[in-house]
Amino acid sequence: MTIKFILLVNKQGQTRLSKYFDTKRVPAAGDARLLFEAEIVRKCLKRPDKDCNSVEHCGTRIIYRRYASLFFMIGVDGDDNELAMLECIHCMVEAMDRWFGNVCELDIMFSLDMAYAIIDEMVANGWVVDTQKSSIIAPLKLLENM
Amino acid sequence: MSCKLRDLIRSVRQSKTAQDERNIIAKEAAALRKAFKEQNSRYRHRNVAKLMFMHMLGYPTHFGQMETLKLVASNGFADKRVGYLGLMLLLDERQEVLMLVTNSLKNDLNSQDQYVIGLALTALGNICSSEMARDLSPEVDRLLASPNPYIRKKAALCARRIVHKMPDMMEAFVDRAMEQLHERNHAVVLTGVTLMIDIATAEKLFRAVIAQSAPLLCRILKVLVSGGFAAEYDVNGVSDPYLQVKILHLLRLLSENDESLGDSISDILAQVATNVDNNKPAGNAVLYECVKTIMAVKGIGGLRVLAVNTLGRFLGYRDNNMRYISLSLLLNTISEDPQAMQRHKSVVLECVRDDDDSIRRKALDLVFALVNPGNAKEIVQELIEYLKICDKSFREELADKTCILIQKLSMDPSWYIDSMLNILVECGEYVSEDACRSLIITILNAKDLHQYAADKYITAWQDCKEDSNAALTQVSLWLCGEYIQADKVPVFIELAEKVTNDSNLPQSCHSYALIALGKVCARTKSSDDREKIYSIVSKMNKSISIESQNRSMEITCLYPHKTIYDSVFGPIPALEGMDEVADPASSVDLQDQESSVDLTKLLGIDEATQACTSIFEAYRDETIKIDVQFFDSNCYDNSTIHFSAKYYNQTDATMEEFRVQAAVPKHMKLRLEAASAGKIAPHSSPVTQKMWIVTHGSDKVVMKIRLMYVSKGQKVVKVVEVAFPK
Repeated sequence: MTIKFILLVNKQGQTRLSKYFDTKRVPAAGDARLLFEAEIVRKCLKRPDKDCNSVEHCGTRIIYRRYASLFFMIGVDGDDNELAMLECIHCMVEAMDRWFGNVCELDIMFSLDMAYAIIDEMVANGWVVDTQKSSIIAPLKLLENM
Repeated sequence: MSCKLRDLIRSVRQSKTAQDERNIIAKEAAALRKAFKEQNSRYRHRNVAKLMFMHMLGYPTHFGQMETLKLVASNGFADKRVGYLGLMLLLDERQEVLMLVTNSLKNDLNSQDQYVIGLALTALGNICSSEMARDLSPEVDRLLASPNPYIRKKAALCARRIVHKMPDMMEAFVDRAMEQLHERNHAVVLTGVTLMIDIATAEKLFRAVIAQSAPLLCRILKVLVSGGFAAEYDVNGVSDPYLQVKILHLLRLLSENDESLGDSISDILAQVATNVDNNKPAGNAVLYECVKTIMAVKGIGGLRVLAVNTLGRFLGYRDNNMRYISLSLLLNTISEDPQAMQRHKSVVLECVRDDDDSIRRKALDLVFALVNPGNAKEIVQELIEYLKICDKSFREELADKTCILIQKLSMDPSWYIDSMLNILVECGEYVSEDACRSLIITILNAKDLHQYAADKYITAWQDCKEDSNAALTQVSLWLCGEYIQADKVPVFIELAEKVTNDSNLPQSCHSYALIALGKVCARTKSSDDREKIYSIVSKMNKSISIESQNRSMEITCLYPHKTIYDSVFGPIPALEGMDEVADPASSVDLQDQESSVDLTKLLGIDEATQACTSIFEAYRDETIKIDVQFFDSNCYDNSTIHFSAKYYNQTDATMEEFRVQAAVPKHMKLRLEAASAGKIAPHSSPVTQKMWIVTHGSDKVVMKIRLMYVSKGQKVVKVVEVAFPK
């Protein structure tokens, strides 16, 4: 159940946030990465809403969900529990919501470092660390006060 | 000059074209480079943040790596935060600059502030390399025992990465991991379980050790399932589904090969399966994991029925996600219990027709696994029906798989022929050459169906409106060539002529057409037809394509010689044993098939001439024996002797550094290949060496061999004379 990468993409296909954990099997830099992201995004974007939330691409399974104009995608490998990953995505979204207050795409775009901080508190090296929103938000409050 | 990160983002957003965006980024990169050179520490964190943004967009950012490192070493928390973030995003473990960070990391790991320690642990956990792991593992170990849950949870995940990089540390961390389970804080328990899952997956030996904490795990699970834990971990009424899922996963890993453990956890599994609320997605996640675990554990019969029923229920949900996961799970477990799965066959077949692409593909895989000779006919029928209406993107895969299915399970040739006809008519462009070939071979071997097949295919071909159905054209051409009846010949000639003139069809179609025309020419009695065919074929004598030209020239040259022509184009007999084609779905090794064609028989080479024949003993004493084995390929050159010399070690010590030098009389020539090995073990298989002597017809062939080797530490040189008999 390792998470290989987390990707946030808007409906036009622009990457808003990307974090790669497994750099050996997934290209994490340069042109290869852009190509990779573009292919995944194309696959997810053209699926109608009621389709199931997971797509397979080159051996990785990508579990995604659409929130307003943003697609949250998590790439996992083989033996995973999709529904748990969907819950994980939802937890991330709720944490961001609590922090930014009614979060929208612009919030994430303009406070990229905070968004990354939230994700870092939740997921480390491909595994879920903590799902309790209060303990995720606590260090961020500290950061804000500095 | 130095704009804020927000301004950069805003200007990139407002740029209208890609070129615009590139310009903005290039300008900003230049400004950044200048700022880095000037060592401006006030705006450093802003600059690195901009660097990260550019990296996310995909531009090269190596010039900023040293700046990131400087930020990490600075004292302010905000600076450190940006520095570590930059570290994780811009660098990966393969970069050498990472080593420079080790010292700052160590200082941070020892700091008083828990958040600084947290930062360092997160960064370490994401990108540490094996050297860093070795240096910093004592710190991480110490932190794993700290009372602060914030630190402990992060330390556990850091430990996971260290364990990956340095597997020998696993032992120490296993005990720590088990201690984590005693905490009240869910996050600590969660990370402890994660660490244990990882160790259990990586190193099976530790599973027994970890299994000791199984009762504790069950207890935690029980408390979670019966509710009554803190409200903050609650997700829609299910308390901490992540922890539940992780614990179930661990239990699955531990009890995979351990039956006794499987028994002891069976009641908690039953409890989870019945108590979980399956109206909520979180509940379903836990249920799914539970079913997976039940399936993996051997020996709980009653629970397994419950699991299969739950799966069946999942299949019935309208939510696509549930259907997808139930299809995946069925695919995994079908090997265990194929009978039970047959019940779901109709549902699966329906899923093949679903709108959702992922579900379709999974369902098709599952159909493959479900099919057996009993239900093959109806399944294939359904698939062919669906082929007619499905959309183009899926057609190719579906056609491919259906052909494979038909091939695998065809016991009844007429059914095979009919089904293949259906597929060829519907989507001939997607049928592979292999499938066509095996179809032809099957028809060839089914003697009584020749006319039947020929008639059907010819009619279908005539009615076929699409010009580019190459597969159907090919098969029909072949069938016409072999089995056509006299009254249909004129029609056939017309159609074949159209094929030869049609440049849309692939080359193979043209070739088939020419050969088919040639065959019909041999068999038809009417000389008008023969004339017509001859004129069509000779037109291709000047064709641009070499293949067509080749065939047409052959036919036109043979044409005047009636008897030869007739025998060349006579009917093909049934090909025994060639009806198996390498099946992509099953890994059949072509060499394994007993029915493989014997190449040597075909080419007429006598087996005896291939194998090596005589061996004679060239030399023997107490230390060494030399045998000479002749290869009898003297058929091409009587004056050369080709043989292989075999050196046997007759002593009890190994002969090392074995070297051979050889010489022949002046009027002959000698050629040596390198010996097969430099060491001969005592009383075992020999070292061989191939040699050629060009004798120029002389009778008496002698050869002097000098052998050099080291035996029991002493160098030995031996000179031996070998006389060849003849």
